[in-house]
Amino acid sequence: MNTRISVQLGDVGATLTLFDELAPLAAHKLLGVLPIDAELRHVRWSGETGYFLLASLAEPGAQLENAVTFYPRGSLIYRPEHGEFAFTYGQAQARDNVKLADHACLLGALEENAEPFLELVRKTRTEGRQPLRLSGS
Amino acid sequence: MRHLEITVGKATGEAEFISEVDSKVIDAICSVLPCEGTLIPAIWSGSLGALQLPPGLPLDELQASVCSLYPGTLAISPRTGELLLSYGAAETRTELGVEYVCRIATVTTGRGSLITECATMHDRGALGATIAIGN
Repeated sequence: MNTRISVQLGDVGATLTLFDELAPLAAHKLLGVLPIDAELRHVRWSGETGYFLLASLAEPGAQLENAVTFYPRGSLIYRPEHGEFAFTYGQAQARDNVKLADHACLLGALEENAEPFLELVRKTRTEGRQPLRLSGS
Repeated sequence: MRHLEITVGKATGEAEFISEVDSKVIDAICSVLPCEGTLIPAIWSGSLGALQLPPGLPLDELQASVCSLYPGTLAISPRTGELLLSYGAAETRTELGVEYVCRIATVTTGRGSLITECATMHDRGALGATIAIGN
């Protein structure tokens, strides 16, 4: 059974389903550090996505579960090499300054109130960072 | 010799046209300046900001020959007509891959403060920007 958690970005709340069965190690790691207070910023290389970093979950060389290169809209993406988590509001791909196409873990998907949440993710490009909180639902 | 005056947020600087740019292209660039607008951070290209220039540039005459832009480099995208200013690691890309642009100038004065100010876009979002012909 997939686990649901709560996410709050600025003044917009939403729920998120973690893909426990497809990415059990990553989901377990994230659940183990909840609640999380972070700041969401817009990416510079990967497209229409906002990200936050959790240094404690950075694991270069870690096994990549449920790997994707393109990020589905409304998804939560995890890049263990950076401890990076990302919410995608449009077209996006795992990239950085070196690689035009890398892979990342598709860890979850927004459910309730996804659209207002993604709209606020989009605005981080022009309006700057937003406070983010993830907690058990 | 003509140069460009750049303002981004609270930072100001000057840039000199590179010698490879044809004088007719410089004339055309100068004809659409000054330009006041918003420097928007790139989402595919790294540490790069884009300012939409007014219409009137002969974009099909621009020599799009570079994609890696060192910090403090100014370029124009023939596809979008945007002025691009790099402030860190940057390679002009789109969702489809690498895209070549026309390098036009290098920041010569105020480089550090412009780069520092541009980098704040990561926290603050887009910044007001002006580019004009210097005296």
